[in-house]
Amino acid sequence: MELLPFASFLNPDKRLFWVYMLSSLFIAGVYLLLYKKEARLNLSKKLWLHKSAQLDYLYFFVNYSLKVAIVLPVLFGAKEVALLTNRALFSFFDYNLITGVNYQLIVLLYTLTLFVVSDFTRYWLHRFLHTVPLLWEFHKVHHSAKVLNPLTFYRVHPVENLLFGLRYSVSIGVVTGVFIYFFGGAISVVEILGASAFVFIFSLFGSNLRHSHIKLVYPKQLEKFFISPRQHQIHHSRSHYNKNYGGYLAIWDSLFGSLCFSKDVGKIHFGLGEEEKRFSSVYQLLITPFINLSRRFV
Amino acid sequence: MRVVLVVVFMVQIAFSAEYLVSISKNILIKNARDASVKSEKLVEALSKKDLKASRERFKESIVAWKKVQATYVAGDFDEMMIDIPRLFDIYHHGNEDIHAQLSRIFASDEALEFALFKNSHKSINALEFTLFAKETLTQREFQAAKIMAEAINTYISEIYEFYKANHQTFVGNEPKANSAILNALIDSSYKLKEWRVGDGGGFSKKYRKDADDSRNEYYLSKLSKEAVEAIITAHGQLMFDKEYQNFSTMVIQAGAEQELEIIREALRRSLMLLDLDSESFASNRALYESLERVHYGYYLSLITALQITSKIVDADGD
Repeated sequence: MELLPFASFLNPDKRLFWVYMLSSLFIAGVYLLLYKKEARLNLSKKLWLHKSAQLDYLYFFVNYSLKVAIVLPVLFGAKEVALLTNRALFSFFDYNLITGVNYQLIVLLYTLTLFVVSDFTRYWLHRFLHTVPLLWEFHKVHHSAKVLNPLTFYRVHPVENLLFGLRYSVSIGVVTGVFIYFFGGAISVVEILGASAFVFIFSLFGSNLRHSHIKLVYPKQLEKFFISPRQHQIHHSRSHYNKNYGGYLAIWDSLFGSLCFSKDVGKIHFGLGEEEKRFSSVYQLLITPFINLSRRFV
Repeated sequence: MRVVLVVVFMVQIAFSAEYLVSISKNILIKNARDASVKSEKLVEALSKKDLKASRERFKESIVAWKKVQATYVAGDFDEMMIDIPRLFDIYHHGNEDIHAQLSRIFASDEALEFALFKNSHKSINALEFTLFAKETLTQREFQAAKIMAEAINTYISEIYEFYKANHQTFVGNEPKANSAILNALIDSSYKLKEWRVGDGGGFSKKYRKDADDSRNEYYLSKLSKEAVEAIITAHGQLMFDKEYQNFSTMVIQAGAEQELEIIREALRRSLMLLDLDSESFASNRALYESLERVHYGYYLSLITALQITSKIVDADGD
């Protein structure tokens, strides 16, 4: 992994990859041409230099360093999970390598399965971060943003980073272990510019606008399947924390009763209200969850 | 249009992975040619009705064929080639008792061209029974053995011709070629430890603590150890440090050097543990365990080479 956060702009696996940023800028530009009234807010200093935004910019660097120094070393990797899964399948079902299956088909199936399983586990972890009181204290860091910008994505407490890292290891590791058990070396990922094809496509179509004030809405039929930037913005609204937990796919929200369409919601307010004040510095972003927990549980 | 195709073809050659070109020439084609030549010599020896020479040529053919079988990837590039090995090598395939069937055929006076109508009747396993079940052979048995050897030679030559004709297809699709090689090694290493050593030695899941040498692949000809050695040697052709580039080149490039060393060490140890003086595996559990490490090592290197952990940092939040 890159040791410098700037490298994120050159890495297609990162949300901030320059191609995704450029495509988001393009989509935002078209949107603002169509909805000129929105331009004033979206291009205003007030938004981009808001205290909350400034904190996002600073925290991006701090959080990156913390991830490298503290979170990564304690994470067990997807590799170990894949090996364990593979060994477990061997113990229970012995050897079952399937050969002679179309190589391209397996590669496509593996890429799709990785994407769907990863999105599914992401949905549930995100939901637990809201519904389990202990986890919510850490997730408040992300929701304490009063205004949204692409770097708000990285306004996450290291404990949450750790949980998402473990989720990644387990979901990717299990899928890989199962595929290797059945198909051996025939697995590979369909990639575009070095990123998983599905992640690339979704990132290209405005993932960075999820944390922005560009109210990009999909047609209702499409919002049943894919989370639009506006649907995620609705999730950041104080009165809709319990809606639209989905990452790329909306089907999980639809299946588990947490889907909310863009057209059903009017004006929204981001942040935590009164509690925001306790998340107004880097130090507070890191410490407040622990203080809150000690008050709640001790 | 022709110019464009020629340019595309030239570019494809220029960018073909060097190690794949080397694997194709130095291992796949070379081993198949060797097996084809050896099986041809076997046919010649049988034509002369020289049992001693035929048995010697049979041994050479077996050793050469096992190397081809261990690295068989033709089926991944043409589905018509998937079943070729099973057509003339039926070890662990099907439940028919070919020994009884062949004994009946040899005792009858039906024309051999018709009597040996099944593929299994013309397999390596049928030929082994014919050449090694008795001390001497009748004229009819020699005639039958020659028919079998000719059939085997035809199949092996078909594999050799396929590798030659499809060299460019193989080297031109690196991910698919890598996948085919790795799966051949995984499959071969499993069958080596579980079937060829474990079943007879009483270590496999199916026959745990129930050793029986007659389950060994070449029990009658007492060539089981030679066959195992040939298979390990074929794995070594792909994985050891050789004068030519091989699969280890790719494994190192993919960052799985440590895992490669585990495989190499296990292969070296397996060769060392292979006691060629004894035909039984029953007292050689260490060999079974060493081969298990080879099999496990392939998965280990595969998972490492996939580099699935590298993307962990940006797997976070929303």
